[in-house]
Amino acid sequence: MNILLITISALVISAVSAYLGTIMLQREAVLTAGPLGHLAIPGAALALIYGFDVSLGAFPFVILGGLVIWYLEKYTTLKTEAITAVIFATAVAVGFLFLPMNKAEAVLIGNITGVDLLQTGVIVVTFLFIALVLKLIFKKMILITISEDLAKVEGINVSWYKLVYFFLISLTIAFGIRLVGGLLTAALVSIPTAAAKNMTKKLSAYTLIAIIISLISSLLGVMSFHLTHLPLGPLIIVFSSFFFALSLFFIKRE
Amino acid sequence: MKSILEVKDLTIDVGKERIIDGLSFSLDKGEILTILGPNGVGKSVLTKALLGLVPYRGQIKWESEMKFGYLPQGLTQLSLKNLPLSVEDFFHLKTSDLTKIEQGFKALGTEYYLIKNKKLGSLSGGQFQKVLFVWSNLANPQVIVLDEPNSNMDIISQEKMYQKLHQLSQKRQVTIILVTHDLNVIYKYSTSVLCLSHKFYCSLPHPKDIDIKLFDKVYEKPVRLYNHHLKR
Repeated sequence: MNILLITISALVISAVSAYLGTIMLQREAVLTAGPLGHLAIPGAALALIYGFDVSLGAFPFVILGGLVIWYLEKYTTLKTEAITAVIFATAVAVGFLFLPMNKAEAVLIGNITGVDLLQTGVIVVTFLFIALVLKLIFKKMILITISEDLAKVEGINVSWYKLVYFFLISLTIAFGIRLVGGLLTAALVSIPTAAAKNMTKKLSAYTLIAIIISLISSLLGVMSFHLTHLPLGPLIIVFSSFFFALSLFFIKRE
Repeated sequence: MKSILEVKDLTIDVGKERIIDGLSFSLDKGEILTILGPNGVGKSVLTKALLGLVPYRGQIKWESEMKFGYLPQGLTQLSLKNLPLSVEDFFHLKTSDLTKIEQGFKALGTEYYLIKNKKLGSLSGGQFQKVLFVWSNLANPQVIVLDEPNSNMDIISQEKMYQKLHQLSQKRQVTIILVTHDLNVIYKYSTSVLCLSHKFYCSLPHPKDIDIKLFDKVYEKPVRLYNHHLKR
């Protein structure tokens, strides 16, 4: 039963993260998932100390961190990378001041092995919601990526769509941290999409390939975990990286 | 004819610099307005203000809620070269009406099927501008704003584009606002001209009567118009 729940959770989190990653990679924003994953560490630490759900602890911290980055970006002349570096380093430092070392592994590289039926249900419902909203905003987000002016003239409320997009990223990272931890969240959204981008120049194929790679990587990751009992999150990422290496042989140039 | 647009005492600042200062003009439905002037005088900023894309002071009053088409300056295929996005994908962001897209390209003398599977970021500059031009008049806009639409197009495509704009203005009463440095367009197609210079603004209702001396004043240097004496 447990391995079935782990498989379902891993597949759903990976596939939807890859779907989200297809927009993030287009917007050259996949690396923001890394710092945002680190922002979740103090929240995840609190959750482990006080015994509540890791994702519940992580989510408000990702949102709060994102808002602080947005505010500093607006009111200082510093570049996003500099502000993000300051905020995520602070978050990691604060997290590790309180986090007991015996619980650090779960925060850094994830641990979904103890997932129960209710938690799996919450993960499935949350990620189906994320996927549905992503489908609704996908085309508009791509147009916003091409040109915000063009999107505005088409009547798209750019600020609103960006806010929804950020909310989806935060939600994905808060749950992604359960599977692969704060260290590897960027990999969940970036590696399958980067591999897919190597293989196609068509948008629909790009999204489909990214999701398929993420699903196969997760499945292979769970099977390997079952056989070896090595940590699941890193196994999934290693399989994704293998597919990325394979994709280099299919690079489409024009 | 009733004005479709009234601009009064328009002031636009970009950062700390005042770009447009107290500009007023009006525009009738179905007109082809050409905005001309030297570089940096605020032509693109003005078009953005008309579309509500930049903050301004003063009044920009459209007759009603308008449906716009826009071809922006500065959006190039090179800035999109990393996107896995074909020309077909790009159009599907707006419409799935294949016939309209095909007709749009046909009007420019290009076949859509030759271009649709190409990656958007790997088009030539001229092809990319054709794509943006077709995009700008896809959804039956009432107003089309084009900011230097012909800078990369070949002369045949340019002429076809202007003919298409002329046709839209005549048959469907579409209002066209055009930023261009091509003075021939003013004489051949424009129904009014808005001159922006660093020293003054002028709105001219009869472009065919424009004296070359006015261009000298607008560009603050003597302007020479070249006649091409090619014969068939």
